[in-house]
Amino acid sequence: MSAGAVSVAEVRSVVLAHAELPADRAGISDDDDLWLAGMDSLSSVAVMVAVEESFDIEFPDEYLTREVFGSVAAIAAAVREIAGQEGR
Amino acid sequence: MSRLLPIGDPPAYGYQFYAFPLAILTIDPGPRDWILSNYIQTAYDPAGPGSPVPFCFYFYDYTDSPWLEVVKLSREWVGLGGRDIVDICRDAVHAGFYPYLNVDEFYIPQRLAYGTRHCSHDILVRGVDDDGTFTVYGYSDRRVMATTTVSQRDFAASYTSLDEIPNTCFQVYFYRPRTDVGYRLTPRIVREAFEEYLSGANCSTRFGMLRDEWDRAYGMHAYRMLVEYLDRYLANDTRFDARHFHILWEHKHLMTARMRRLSELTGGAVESLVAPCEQMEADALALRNGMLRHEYKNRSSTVFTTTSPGRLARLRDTDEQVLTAAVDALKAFS
Repeated sequence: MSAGAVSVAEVRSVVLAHAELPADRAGISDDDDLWLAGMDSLSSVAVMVAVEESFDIEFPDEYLTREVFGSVAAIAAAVREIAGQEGR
Repeated sequence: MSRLLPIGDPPAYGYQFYAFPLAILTIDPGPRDWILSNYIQTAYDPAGPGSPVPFCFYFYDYTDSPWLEVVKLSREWVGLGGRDIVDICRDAVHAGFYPYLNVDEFYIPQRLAYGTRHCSHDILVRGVDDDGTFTVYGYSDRRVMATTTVSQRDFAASYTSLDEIPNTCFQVYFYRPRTDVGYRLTPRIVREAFEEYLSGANCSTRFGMLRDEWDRAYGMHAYRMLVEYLDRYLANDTRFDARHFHILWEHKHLMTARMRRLSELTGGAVESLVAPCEQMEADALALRNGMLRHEYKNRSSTVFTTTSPGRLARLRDTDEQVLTAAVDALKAFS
């Protein structure tokens, strides 16, 4: 997938496949808090790696925060920012 | 009759032996000042990653808190009493006590060693159910702190199995929260702890009349060991151990909360130090998560390889500057 044209839906697909949320929380919205939905810190790293591999990016250190991985929308925004910085 | 004892989210959970008391202490906001008056000192074992606890907070006694009633028994004492461990734990939970003991994880569902290998590990019992199960708390097979259940029959087997496998942890403790106490954070006491941390002094010396001093790198001196570990890790010369930077993050996480509380108590005397503490917390989290990512990717993260040494050095320098400034600011307060 190209990071420059990434859609929230594409990011959502990757996040939900790796966040290991409880089954009853899989229907969360793009703005819902993933931590409150049951994502733990180890799952967040799995999400990070999966997103990086899916969109061929690497999150800089300053993006490795709870806030960036707090929602599908926040992760998608970060992917777009990084892709923009890398000129994709 | 069933009973489930409450727990909170412990602010530090790198090792179960201190995560368990913290999980009980965070049920209620009362012990907050006590928690922030502790968890300041750190110690690094010169044995490094080969040590069972290479880097950790320093405790004289991890069970000791004014907010906890602690009954300390041993496997030998329990055996002398002749009562079944299931009956003991069931009665304890009904009385409001959380049993804390080691078991063979081979028999505990949803644990890393379940059904595959025999392994002594500590566990906290927080519930008993009429259906013949205990509710227990600790690191699950997903490597996160979780509440799970185990049948009382398997729990009994996990306890008795320790007689047959290597085990050096013989404690059978019982924690019960206390409410008839008070504790208020004293800026002078915290300042003295900061001074000790900054100097890298051996804080086990304070307890030298009770036990031999402990050979560790303390406080700021622990950074030397962390830098050495990171260098060796990046050179593929040592094994992965996420606990180093996880504990570092826990230390900074609590330091941010501590600085906020100190600011409240001193009319804002250390308010300017809260933001640098938040930055240290973010740096430590980036180190921890960056290292996990590096390992997930078979040690191929260029970001971690290129930035982590500088980030750790910056964190160390900021730590020294912030705590030095805090010591100066807190001298005006008793």
